[in-house]
Amino acid sequence: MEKGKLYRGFAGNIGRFAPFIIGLDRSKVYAGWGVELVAGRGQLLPFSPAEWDPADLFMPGDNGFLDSDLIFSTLYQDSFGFAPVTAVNQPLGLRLDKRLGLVRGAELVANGEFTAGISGWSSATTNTCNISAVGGQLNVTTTASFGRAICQIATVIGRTYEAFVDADPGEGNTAVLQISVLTSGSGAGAPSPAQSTTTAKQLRVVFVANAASTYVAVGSALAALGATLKFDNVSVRELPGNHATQPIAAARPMLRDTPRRVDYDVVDDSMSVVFQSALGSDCTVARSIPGVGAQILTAQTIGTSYTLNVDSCADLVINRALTPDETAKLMALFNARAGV
Amino acid sequence: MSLYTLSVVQICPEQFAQAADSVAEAAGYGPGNLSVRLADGQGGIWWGCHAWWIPGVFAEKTAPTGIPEIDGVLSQVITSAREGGDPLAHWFDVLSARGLIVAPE
Repeated sequence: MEKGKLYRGFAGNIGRFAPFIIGLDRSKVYAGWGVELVAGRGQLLPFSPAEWDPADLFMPGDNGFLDSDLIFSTLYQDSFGFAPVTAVNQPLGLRLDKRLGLVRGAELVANGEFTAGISGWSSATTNTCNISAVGGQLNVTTTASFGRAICQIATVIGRTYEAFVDADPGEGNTAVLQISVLTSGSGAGAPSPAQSTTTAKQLRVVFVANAASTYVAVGSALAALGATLKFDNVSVRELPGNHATQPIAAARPMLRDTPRRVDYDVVDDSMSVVFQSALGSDCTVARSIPGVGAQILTAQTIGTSYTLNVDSCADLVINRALTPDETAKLMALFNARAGV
Repeated sequence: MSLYTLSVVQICPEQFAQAADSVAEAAGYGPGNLSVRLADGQGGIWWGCHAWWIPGVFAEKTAPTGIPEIDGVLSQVITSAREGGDPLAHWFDVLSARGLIVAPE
């Protein structure tokens, strides 16, 4: 970083997305110093006071998808957000939609820090366990194979959520964070992602709710009885946006550099964005074609999903026509992203 | 430096493709990896895909498992792996060698 120059970026901070430049919001620039990152996967990009945020295009009632800068902390190698992208030349399975600023929703787990004992938590059915709150942590002692504790939360079908837990499996155990639609806390049924660990670490899962009631399950991924595992800081918040995903490993594009872009192999690669309702017949699609510049397609008809499969340095989908001023700003930004 | 340097094309006759996909899905690679429909011009249908792999991981994942049900299925998948290069050119080289063309349904 250079003294006197302004930077923008995002603090990785265990995968959470947050602006770190004090005083910077989406639409205004405040003179100031860049802030040195101390942790996480954040990135710094030179910030011009003239740079405009295309998220400002999205007014109430507008819908679509936006990723205009391919920041590492908003990209993941798999579709459940298990493996963050940490460098270029890695596959893309999840690309977060930045229209809404990635401001997380309200906390859905009422007693995730176990300050109220085990209130809100119970043993799963079938995969049973004894649970207790000790020193502000949840102790799960398995009394059946894959014993786990569950907490029920209210979710909206089709919306994306992000779940965290600090897990300590103890010696010889494997701790799991499982998103489930069943009181057994198992992964049966609809896509029910899980992440596990044999060492003390934070587990994280990004999931799309497929039921109005979802169970957050923490416990053992093994069949052994009598194992005691510890959990703390369980959190589930909505991750607003229409995020682009690719669950099929062979079909994931690669993140490349110079210019920074999403690179599809033209054989089978693509990413899909799903919308809760059709976008309509007057949509605008904008891409930043590497080495070429902005490509803006108007009057596009888009239903409840859109496929991204063209190499691009930035992508935008919006369910309306743009004004001439908006178009000019978008073209300037997308040309810059393309390196032209 | 990229770790994902190995360009891998895999094709499989239709009668074994679903089983091969199930093996891949059980291994955590998601559903339906063999997603491109191919035809051999004599009525035969194949399915294929391209992916970038980390060489060491590819070697590990394609080594025989010793489980007959899995190894039997995976033996029906034809794999071409080469370092770097243009994935589309690699893809068409493999298809051409087998007399296959892309044939969407």
